[in-house]
Amino acid sequence: MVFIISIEISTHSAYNDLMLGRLHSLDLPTYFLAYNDFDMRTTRFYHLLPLIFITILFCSKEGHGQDFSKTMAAEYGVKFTEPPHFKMYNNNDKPFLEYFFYMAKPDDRRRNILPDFYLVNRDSSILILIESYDYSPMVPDIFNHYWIDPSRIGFNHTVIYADTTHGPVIYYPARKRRYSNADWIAEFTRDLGSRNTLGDFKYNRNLVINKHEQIFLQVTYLFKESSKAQMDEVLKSTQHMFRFEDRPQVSPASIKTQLDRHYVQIDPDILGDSLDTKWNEGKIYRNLYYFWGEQFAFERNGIVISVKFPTNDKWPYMNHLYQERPDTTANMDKWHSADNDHRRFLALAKDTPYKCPQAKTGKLNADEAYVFSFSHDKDDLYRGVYRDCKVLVFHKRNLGSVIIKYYYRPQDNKKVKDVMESTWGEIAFKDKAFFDSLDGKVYPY
Amino acid sequence: MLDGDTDDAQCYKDELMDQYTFTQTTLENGLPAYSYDPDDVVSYMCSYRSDYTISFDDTPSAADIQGILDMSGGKVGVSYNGHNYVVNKVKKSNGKVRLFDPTNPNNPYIWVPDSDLNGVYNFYRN
Repeated sequence: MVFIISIEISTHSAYNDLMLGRLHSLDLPTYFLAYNDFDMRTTRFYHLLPLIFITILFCSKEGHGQDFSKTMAAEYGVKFTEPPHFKMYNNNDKPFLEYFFYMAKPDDRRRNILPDFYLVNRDSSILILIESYDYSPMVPDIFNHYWIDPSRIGFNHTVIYADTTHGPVIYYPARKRRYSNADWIAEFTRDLGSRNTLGDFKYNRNLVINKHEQIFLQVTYLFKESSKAQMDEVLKSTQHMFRFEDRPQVSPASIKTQLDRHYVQIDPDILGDSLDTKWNEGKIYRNLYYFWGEQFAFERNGIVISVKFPTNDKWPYMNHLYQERPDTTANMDKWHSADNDHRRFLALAKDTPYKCPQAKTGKLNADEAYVFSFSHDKDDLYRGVYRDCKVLVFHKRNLGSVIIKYYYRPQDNKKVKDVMESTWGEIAFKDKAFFDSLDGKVYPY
Repeated sequence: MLDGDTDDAQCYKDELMDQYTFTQTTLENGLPAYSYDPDDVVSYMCSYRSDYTISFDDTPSAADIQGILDMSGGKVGVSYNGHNYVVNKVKKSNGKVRLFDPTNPNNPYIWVPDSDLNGVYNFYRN
């Protein structure tokens, strides 16, 4: 005799409740187990119970809508652990789960949330939407006539969406990032306005979890009135939900490439001191993204010299890539604005920034240079060791800026000044003869 | 918004000029410059290049868009929700398309279903 066992799992009631009227069956595949000469009345049936149990378990994991391996996050090195009391669903089938909103802050755009996947708690009072954005290199093309730093997009998702009337953006210290292996994490309340399709989900918390040059996740926690009191607790209980493997999407750019792109030269003497590892993790201070991380670093006499090239999207959009000379007349205000952008970093000084005299600025082939002191928070040490640094910011008109940080231990306060003095000009913009040879074909960053 | 009635670069340029207010100025080096209102259109205007073919697809799918992106110099522009974007990423397996606003690089990415796109402009090298 042939006996067939059919397993079907019906729609999850909590899930239905969320769909705003749209039914979406879990539609798990039907599995058939066939056995010859099977007789339920015999004890042999009981021998098959473990097999049936395992099959049901397999079906519930493999049914579409619950398989994390099919998400974009999984594709880019994110490991996921389903938190207790939540169930995870994919969002891979049309019609997608999608929400729309207008922000409370002045903005003319209707915005959307189209999650990669999402989680629902047992009584459907908490919904967690996870949007995944992998790293895609961006180079100038027919649409983008200027460099766009794709690593910055995650930061855009923080500053644009943060509703700071509910409190500042909080960047997590090292101990709160350690498990996830993320490079930076921002927590804030998301500006979802009052015109939205979120229904009873009136409250939210948001995390942007960034893995440099790999992927970032925007995690939006939505709460109904009944779960409002659980907001902090839920954030805490789900803090180990994600863990990143190191799977960068681009090879590290060579120092030479970085120098060429930013019109900077380095003395071969200091080049020999270059460090293999980069430190691209930590907090973002005062929302000044380009003070975070580094392009490369050197070590000289126990002082770590960290170099960063901030990019600036305030340069006029047109007339500087395919034109022979920068359009400094037609877009005077835009050029002026872009030429002052580097001064924002001076707000980080813990003392009065020192403006270097022309003699010293000239050695950097720059038009302006400032030196100031900066200290990392005690739970955010650079390379896990250094708290203090001297910062040199220098700028070349209509071109761009460079940030050099000289990290030192407390006992090396005098030594850092000696190293700054002895290396001054070893990292500098290219000289006048170089720029003259370009005949105005200069690309500002 | 742009209606896709045209299929070559020059007409595309003319269409933009018809639809948007612009001011033409001459730069120090003698080349023309254009200031547009709204600014968004600048992203498309800058993209006018004689060595590119521009076509319009009024029923785009993620697979079609990926096909254009795979071509030499392939780029896809789209008007979505009243703003101009470029397609930055396509997830063919589920029909999601990621958009980026090149004239507002401080803006976030957005994912949208390909079925929400009313039409796309395809750009690729001749």
